[in-house]
Amino acid sequence: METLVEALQKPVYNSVYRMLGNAEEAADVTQTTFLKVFENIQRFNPKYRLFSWTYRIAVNEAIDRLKEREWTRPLKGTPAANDSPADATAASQLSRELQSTLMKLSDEHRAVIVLRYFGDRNYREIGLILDIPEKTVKSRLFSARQQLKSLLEKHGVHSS
Amino acid sequence: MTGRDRLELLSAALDGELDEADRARLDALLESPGNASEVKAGLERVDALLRSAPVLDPPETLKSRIMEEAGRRRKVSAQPPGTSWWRQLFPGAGIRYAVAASAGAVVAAVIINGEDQVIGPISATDVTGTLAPESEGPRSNIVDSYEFSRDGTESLIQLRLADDVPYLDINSDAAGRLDISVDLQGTGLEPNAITHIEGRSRSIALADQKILLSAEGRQRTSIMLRNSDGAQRTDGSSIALEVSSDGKLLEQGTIAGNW
Repeated sequence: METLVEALQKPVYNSVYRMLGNAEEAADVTQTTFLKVFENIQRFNPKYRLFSWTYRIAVNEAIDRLKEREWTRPLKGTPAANDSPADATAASQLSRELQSTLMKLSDEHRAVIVLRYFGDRNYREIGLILDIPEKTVKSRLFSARQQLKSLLEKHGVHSS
Repeated sequence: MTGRDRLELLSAALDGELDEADRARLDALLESPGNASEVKAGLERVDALLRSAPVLDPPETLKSRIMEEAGRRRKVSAQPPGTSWWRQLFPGAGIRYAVAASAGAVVAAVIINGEDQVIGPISATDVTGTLAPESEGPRSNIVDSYEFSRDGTESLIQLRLADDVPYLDINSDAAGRLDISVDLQGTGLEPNAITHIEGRSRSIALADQKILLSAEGRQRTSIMLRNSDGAQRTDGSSIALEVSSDGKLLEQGTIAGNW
């Protein structure tokens, strides 16, 4: 189990962070993901690779967390997103514009981008993880990239 | 193949997901008049930006946190059958500590969305009922209560002491949605744990010295309070209550007394 965490915690954490845009929540969701993997390992479906299966749990957990946000209203004293020291560190490491632009995508578009770039998954694996056909993966990635392009240009962010 | 299908080839090419036939189609597309080259350049810029995003290091303690929690859960699951899940989670606590949602400076929120959200190891459907039966709890003395009526039904918010431990009971009944806000500032109290959930609370959020509960229909919730670290009770202070629906304030009241 420890080896599994060692091997996967970084890519899983990075993917979840890009889904949520919040370092503390990303750590929580990563923890929950591995605990669910441990607890359900006997139900592991061999159609997935363990890596992909872990991602499937992580993405679903992240999406659940995003839904919870809609339910939970911010309260006085609640730390705001990107407000914590962990977030500050994270924010210093990555392009804020890119992350904030990613957060403007729909969950389903963000998920394909995250799995492709931060999980390094191919179309077949992304399809398995998200339970969608490969053709849909291809189509969503195209749409997501087009949207990102427009949003980044709108905010004056260009890669050179 | 539609125009969009052809443009999707540009995106798939970035991912190395083209077969021979697709590659031939892509070459033809790029040689044909139109904006394919422009679209390709735009997609490549986005691709380069995403690839340049730094890889973050997870918190140093994350692995040890995961392993410790996994170990703790293994021990819990090894307990004899018949041990209640709440006792497994909180082995040193009595039943009234069953659903412990600690609230300190950081928010502890319990979301009970209709029937299919999860609270702890069981579903909210299972939660509906009595987690902390009155018969198992200590005898309570009512300190003060606030009643209001909505849609012809009565609702009650009360503060009681049980073994000198303060509890706030929120029993509401309304056809529509009610948002109940309880402000403990100045009272020297803060939320400690949710000890009783019955009916259909939509969400309960505990923050330092504030409780927000959204409900629809009939529900009962009890929240154990505790003395807030470093917060003294201000003379004459009382617990401030607000009840609203759809953003419209319906009721304002207070609960006062000695605790």
